[in-house]
Amino acid sequence: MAAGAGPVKTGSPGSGMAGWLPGGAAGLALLALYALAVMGLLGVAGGPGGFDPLDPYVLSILRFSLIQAGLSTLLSLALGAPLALALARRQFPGRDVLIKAMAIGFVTPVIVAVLGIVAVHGRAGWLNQGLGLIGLDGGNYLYGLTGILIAHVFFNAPLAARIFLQALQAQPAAHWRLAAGLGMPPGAIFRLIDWPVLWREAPGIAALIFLLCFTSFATVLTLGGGPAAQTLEVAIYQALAFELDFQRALALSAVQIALCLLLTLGLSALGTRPAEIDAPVAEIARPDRAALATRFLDGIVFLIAAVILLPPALAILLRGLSPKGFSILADPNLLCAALGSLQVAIPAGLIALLIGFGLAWTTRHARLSGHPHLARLPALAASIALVAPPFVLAAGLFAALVGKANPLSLGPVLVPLVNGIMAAPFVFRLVGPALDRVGERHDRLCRSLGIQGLTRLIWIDWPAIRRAVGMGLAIATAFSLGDFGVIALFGGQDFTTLPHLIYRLMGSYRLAEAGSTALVLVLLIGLLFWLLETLIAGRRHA
Amino acid sequence: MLEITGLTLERPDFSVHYDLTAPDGGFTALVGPSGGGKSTLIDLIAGFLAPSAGSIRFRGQDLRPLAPADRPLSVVFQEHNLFPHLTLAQNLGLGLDPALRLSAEQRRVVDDGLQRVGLDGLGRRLPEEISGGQRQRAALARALIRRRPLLLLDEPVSALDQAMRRDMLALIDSLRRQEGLTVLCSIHTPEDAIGIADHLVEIREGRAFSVTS
Amino acid sequence: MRKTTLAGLAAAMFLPAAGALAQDRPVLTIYTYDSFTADWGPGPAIEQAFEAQCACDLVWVGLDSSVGILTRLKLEGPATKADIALGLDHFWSTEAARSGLFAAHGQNTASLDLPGGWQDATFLPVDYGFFAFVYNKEALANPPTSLKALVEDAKGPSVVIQDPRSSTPGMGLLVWMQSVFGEGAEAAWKTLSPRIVSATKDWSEAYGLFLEGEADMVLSYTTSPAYHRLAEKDGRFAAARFAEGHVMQIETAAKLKAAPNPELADRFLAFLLTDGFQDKIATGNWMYPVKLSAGGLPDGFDAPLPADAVRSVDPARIDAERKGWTQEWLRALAR
Repeated sequence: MAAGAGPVKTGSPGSGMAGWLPGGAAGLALLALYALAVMGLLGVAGGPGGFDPLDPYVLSILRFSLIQAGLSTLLSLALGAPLALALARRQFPGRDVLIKAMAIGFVTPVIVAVLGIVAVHGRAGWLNQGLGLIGLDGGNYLYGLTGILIAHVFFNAPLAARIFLQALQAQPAAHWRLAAGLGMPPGAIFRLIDWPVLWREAPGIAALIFLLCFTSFATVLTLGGGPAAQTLEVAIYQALAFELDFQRALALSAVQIALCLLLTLGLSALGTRPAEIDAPVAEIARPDRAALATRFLDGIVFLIAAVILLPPALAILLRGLSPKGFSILADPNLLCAALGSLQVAIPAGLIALLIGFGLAWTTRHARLSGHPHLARLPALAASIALVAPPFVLAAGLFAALVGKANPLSLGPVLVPLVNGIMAAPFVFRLVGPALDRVGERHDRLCRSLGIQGLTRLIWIDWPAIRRAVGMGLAIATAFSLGDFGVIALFGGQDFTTLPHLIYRLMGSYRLAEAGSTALVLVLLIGLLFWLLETLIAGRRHA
Repeated sequence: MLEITGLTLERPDFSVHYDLTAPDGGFTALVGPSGGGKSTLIDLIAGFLAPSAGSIRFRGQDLRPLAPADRPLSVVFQEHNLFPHLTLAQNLGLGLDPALRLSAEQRRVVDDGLQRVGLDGLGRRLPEEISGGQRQRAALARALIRRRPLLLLDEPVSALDQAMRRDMLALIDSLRRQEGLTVLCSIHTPEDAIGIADHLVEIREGRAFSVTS
Repeated sequence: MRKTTLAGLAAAMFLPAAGALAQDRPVLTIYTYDSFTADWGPGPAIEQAFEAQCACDLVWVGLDSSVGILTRLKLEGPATKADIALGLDHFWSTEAARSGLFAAHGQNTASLDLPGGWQDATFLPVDYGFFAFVYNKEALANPPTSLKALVEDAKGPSVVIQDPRSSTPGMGLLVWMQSVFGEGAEAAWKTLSPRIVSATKDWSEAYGLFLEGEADMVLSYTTSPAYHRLAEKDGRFAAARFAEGHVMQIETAAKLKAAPNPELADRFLAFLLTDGFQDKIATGNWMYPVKLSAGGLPDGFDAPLPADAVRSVDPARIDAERKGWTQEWLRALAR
């Protein structure tokens, strides 16, 4: 491509193809798939046409989507930052496990989490029961904006905390020794060291969380409570699945993608780094640990976080352990669903890895070879994959391919594919920074020695990025294990996954079994997470 | 003078046991192979590590019970001496007030410190805007304005090229003479210390061996 | 359960239905909704009964909802491998007929035990039920006795309902409200709206919320209490009888014009109206069979509502007004 013909900055001939190919291929593949999906949907005789973008209902959905995403982001950051600070300062047994668990919370299937949240915050939930003991009644506050915010904070505050924590702990050890040697008081440490880090990381994290909340589907569907609280994503699903109004679905998708891209581009123009989800964490000894003020503050933060985050998790655990639910363990359907889940999740994880890694590789190559503006393209592709509604992609591909293949066999192929695409942006955000780091460190050396392409990947990059790759694969796979949107379009008796089974159990009044299956699902996700991280990422650090 | 007696600690690779003295107001260079224990010794003296046994006395005062900030010393590391988001003046100011609330008099002291190391007028610059050598000099200036009698330097010139190494060491030495500091400086390339250090100690496998005195 | 391995899938993707190759028996493919085909639904027993007499292989494809069946068939178009669609609600009959995907059933529907009889030539009734608000007798001592009472009593019970766009009961309630309140339906929705805890995507969620204690009443079927009584030995639940009468839901089946096995499909449609199928419905699907077997309904199963307690609405009218009614509903609830 630009290898020989471009401006002679720092590009080196020969590495051109190896650099542009993975990302280019991934980007083109994504483009092709989306185009195919759009054509597929347009090709099917749609339902009632005529879409009025200024329909007051659509405007109110838009308004609500923005409001709930904005508030969710603010609240998640407001809890996540102090939590990260408290975790950075404190050492205690089980800290590592807790930090790991915070990453897993992010991939908890929405169905499972909602079950837990309803058990705690519902009208008959723990909170209201507790209030009832002292004569108060919280009433029905869960369904609507409140419930959505609670759920979003449950998912995203730990994520924010984890990203902030990585950044806070990325200070070189020398800085902490300086702080100790100079006798910096805790207030100054916060003001001069921690706060600039938090401020720098916040926009990137905010963008990520905003996008996740804006496109949140299952949460809004279950806790929204009705038309007053619906988001674009839900409206798109409605148009697609029930009103059979494909034109409307496509139009709304376009609006969603455009809005989200605007946000992402705007923030990247400000020069903010994309939020790095995982980074090596060093052992450091902060000098402000012992101070009474910080101990007090950290204690309060832990308390608040525990009150907000722990009860639903506990509820999920307790519900799953009820004896009535255990009968599902002997049911062969469970094994079937679990295998189905793996059949979806493992290919999805690999697809996500291929796409995400390819995009990250080319991004780095573009940056290192003097084309930083081109580096924006793979990031753009990743952003689109993040915000484009997956069911539009799934339904569109199905419509496009249905004439060419046995429709019944399309499901087991499309579900992993779409899940993989959905998870690719996370791999991108995890592997990208790791690749960049090792690239910057060794690029001049590699170029002077002529190390490039596959050799460079295996010998130079891999040891530095295997942690991120392991984490990325784990997240992508876990995400797909817990997915419920796309499987709903294609699931059936022959092809079922654990979330699908949970849903079917709920559909026949069998809630206790649903709870136990949910627990099995969470355990499976945890197991897979641990396995992938240990095998691929190598020895575990915090 | 600095007296280290029987200073002991178990490290992952080996255990250390130091016995050495550094003359008051003199320039003592620590030389030796990488991983031999030079940094460990400095960390122990500075108070970043706690020894399991032994004593550290400076001018008769036992340093062990003191927190790092309370010990009569300043430390300059190989790199990362400056906070990247603070200007040079602010970085230096931290040496006078770690909460960075400086009086006008203190600001004058900062400017003076910058001038003495040849960084006149660069107070408003960020660390990334100046060279590695200049950054190390700024760190040195901060140590100076704290007016602590003992100056520890952990491979302060290893990241610089040869010309800059000699210049930096000469600068350290001249400041030592002006202020009457006792300097303990670990250095990777002993030949650079010739002519500057008046006391050479070799640190190897966690033990100190006096080479000259 | 038929396990499909990934390799087998990749191979089978571009081949005609793998089952047909594996065995020499013809395969009847039926699209229906999920809970019909679950182990605890009527599906497996019906499959056994039919396979015994047809020397064929019955394959269920479970989709996520009744509406989902129609969506999926529309997406697949003439390339579909489905022979029969089972579980389409009669609310959507007119729209389904418009799609041109279905063929006439050719069965005699004269002597069905279906209130109001049956005229449609394309769609064959399979079972039916009555929508009702279900409640816990121990929690709610005095349930409302009419829809008007439920709506107009500001201190009345809280309800959880379903979204009419995605759920049949949801649509049923929409129709019910329109039928009772007419022009005043939008105002009635507004009046009820503060007491609507949630309008969920489908019935199972709503029912789950109700069982969690989130609301006093849930929109469900008159047969729901029978499930609790017979399957769980739990007699606490009851369905409120409303003075204005209850709207019916009739589930239908139809043959696809593009069916790969039309004769087999016809045989299944005939089988549908026989005991072999119908006597699995009551305790399998918790709905009423359209043709009662000699033994009648199982013990403990309530009798169907008498004809004067049924509110019927013309499906053609539903089809014409549905979009407008839905917009009204959205407007009324989008406080």
